[in-house]
Amino acid sequence: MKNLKIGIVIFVLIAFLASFAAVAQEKQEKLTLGALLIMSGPLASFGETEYNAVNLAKEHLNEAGGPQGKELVVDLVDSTTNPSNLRDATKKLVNVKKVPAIVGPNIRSDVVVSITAPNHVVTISPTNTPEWVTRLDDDDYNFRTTVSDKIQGQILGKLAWERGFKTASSIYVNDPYGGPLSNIACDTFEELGGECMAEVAYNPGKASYKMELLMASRGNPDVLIMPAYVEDGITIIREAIAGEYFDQFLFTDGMFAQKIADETGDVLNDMYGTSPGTSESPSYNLYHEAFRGKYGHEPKAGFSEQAYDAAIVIGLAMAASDPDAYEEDPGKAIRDNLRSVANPPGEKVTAGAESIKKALELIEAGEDINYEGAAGSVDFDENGDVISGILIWKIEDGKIKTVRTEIPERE
Amino acid sequence: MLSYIASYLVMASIYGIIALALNFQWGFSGLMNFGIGASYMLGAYSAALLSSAPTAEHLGGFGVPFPLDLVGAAIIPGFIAFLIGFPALKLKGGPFAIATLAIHEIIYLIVHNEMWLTNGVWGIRDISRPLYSQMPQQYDFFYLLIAGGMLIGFYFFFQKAVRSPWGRVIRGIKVDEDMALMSGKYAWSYKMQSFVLGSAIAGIAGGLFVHYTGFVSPTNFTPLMATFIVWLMVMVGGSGNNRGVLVGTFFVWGVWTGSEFLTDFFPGSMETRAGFMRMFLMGIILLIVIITRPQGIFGKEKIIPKYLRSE
Repeated sequence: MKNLKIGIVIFVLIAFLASFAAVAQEKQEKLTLGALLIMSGPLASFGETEYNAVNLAKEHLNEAGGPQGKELVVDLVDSTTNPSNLRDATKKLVNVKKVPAIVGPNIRSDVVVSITAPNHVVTISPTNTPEWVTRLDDDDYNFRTTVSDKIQGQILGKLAWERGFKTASSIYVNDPYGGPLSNIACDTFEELGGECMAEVAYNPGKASYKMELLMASRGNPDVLIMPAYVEDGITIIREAIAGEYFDQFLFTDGMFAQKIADETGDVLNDMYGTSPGTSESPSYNLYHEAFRGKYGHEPKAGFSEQAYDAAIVIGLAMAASDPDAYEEDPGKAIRDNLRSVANPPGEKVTAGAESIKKALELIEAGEDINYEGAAGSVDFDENGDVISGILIWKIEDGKIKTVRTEIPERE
Repeated sequence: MLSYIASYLVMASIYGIIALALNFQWGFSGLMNFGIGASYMLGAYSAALLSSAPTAEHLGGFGVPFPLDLVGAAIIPGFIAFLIGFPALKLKGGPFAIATLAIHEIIYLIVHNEMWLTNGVWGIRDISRPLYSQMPQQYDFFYLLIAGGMLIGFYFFFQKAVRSPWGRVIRGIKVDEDMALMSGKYAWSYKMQSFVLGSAIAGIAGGLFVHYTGFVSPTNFTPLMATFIVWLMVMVGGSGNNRGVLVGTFFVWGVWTGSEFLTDFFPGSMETRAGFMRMFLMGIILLIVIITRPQGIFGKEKIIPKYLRSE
């Protein structure tokens, strides 16, 4: 009897391991691109929109014949917001799926890079904004298509001052994203002459944020700055309105989702926010046109432009790689070609199916190209960072609209 | 692929050590400890802080080398369990479980918010990984030797411990505390010893964890991933049976890891829901086990002294 039980357990284990192996054998003739995005938890609405954008990029590349004339496929893994799961998900992409390049992660590049860089896998994060990502020891395998928090924080502080507020408080999500944004925004606001009365950290997922609102509203500041996430942010806004703590808010990219207006009614009309990105480039418009065409609606959350750009530059770098070098070490080949397709010099190409087709033709003809992305010009510096604009958005008649783009000064 | 299996086995070994520690507390001593994740977290942070280089971001800079800081990772959670034991061990059964759950949450919030001590939500990076630079690509295999070796060591340690005269008293207290008292055994002291020992060993597992990942942050220790899943391993394997717990650990962690691969077979529209499906699967396993085999796959082991066996 006991042996039977042990037998059953061993059998189930072997069945699982065998299913690993079966999965690992597939997909030889195609080029694979990993997508390591948050599909569950408090940031899931971002992951889903970004995944749509990556799929759109895949479609554009494949319609143009695919990089190296092969079909590109996307392997999605849910990274979740838990670093242990993030490690496992990364290992799956690196060791089992053996992808040469990954769009992601959304957060915690440090965890991922310790696995990807030694294995020569390129990572391009569309969202991971903290300043320390620049300094990671990544052997040049880690890139991002979004700008550092430092830049957004400064623009946010400036926006608060320009909107005519004299005093402000912030409630920020207590994590590596919210803290620095709040600090930098407050510093900039005070430099301009405003006064930051309180900076209150909140822990996500709570049922009520009365305590935080009470602390932040002490002294009656004009506006509440909210580097927060959508789900918690909605709770905070509802309680702030109901308890009459605040009626003016300023948001960041973590709140850049249509859901916040949908779930709070018209109290948020004429509220402003920031997000890395740009609004006025032809590339941005072409991308949005294509996105509407495929999905029938605007992207529901921010950062989908960055995700699209990340997938496109990987595809273009695959195309630009020497086939022998790619065969030998695909990750290294992509890394070495990323800057040549994304940075000047070269003929400028934009987002959108037609221009990607043109880009692949130019690469085929041996010409140099310079991809100008939907989220910015996507010119990688020596750390793999980009400098691009910060988008100012507002809510008008219950709909999120983009207002203008601030181009930060280079330091 | 092999490297992925190795990394599965490393994590399973680390969870195995915690599961053995919990099994000792629950399966043999009857302490329903829902704060086992706190000991795991404390051990992880102790090892991280003891071995880290000096930095302005958090406490640290002690520079204790690898195997030695595991001793610290055992002593600190053990000592804290000792302090917690005074109020908590006045309770039994369910109330004890709720008390330890609350303590788990308190410790989690302290780690989450005390920037000077733990660097808060930012976590601690660049924790030394023994001999990592020699073999960055084969590291999983090397670490499997360490973690697997420790797991086997602790297995034999616990097997010996519960069969010793001391272990006999512990098991006796679980069955009938008054009887143990009547026999002149001070039950409270034995329960405290079991509580501290289990917590210390869960702490060692935490130390092993941080030296493997090189990184730690409070979100590693959510109740699901630090406490609930360990309980599941013990319940599935069979509480009070060390061998069963080992099988339960490898099974539960195998399903958890393997369920990630099931998501490959989902149709496109389901793909984005995969994360929730995995948690759902964990719940189903627990339900099936509780309904069909409440004693676990193996059930409780009868421990009969050699001289009583009829041979």
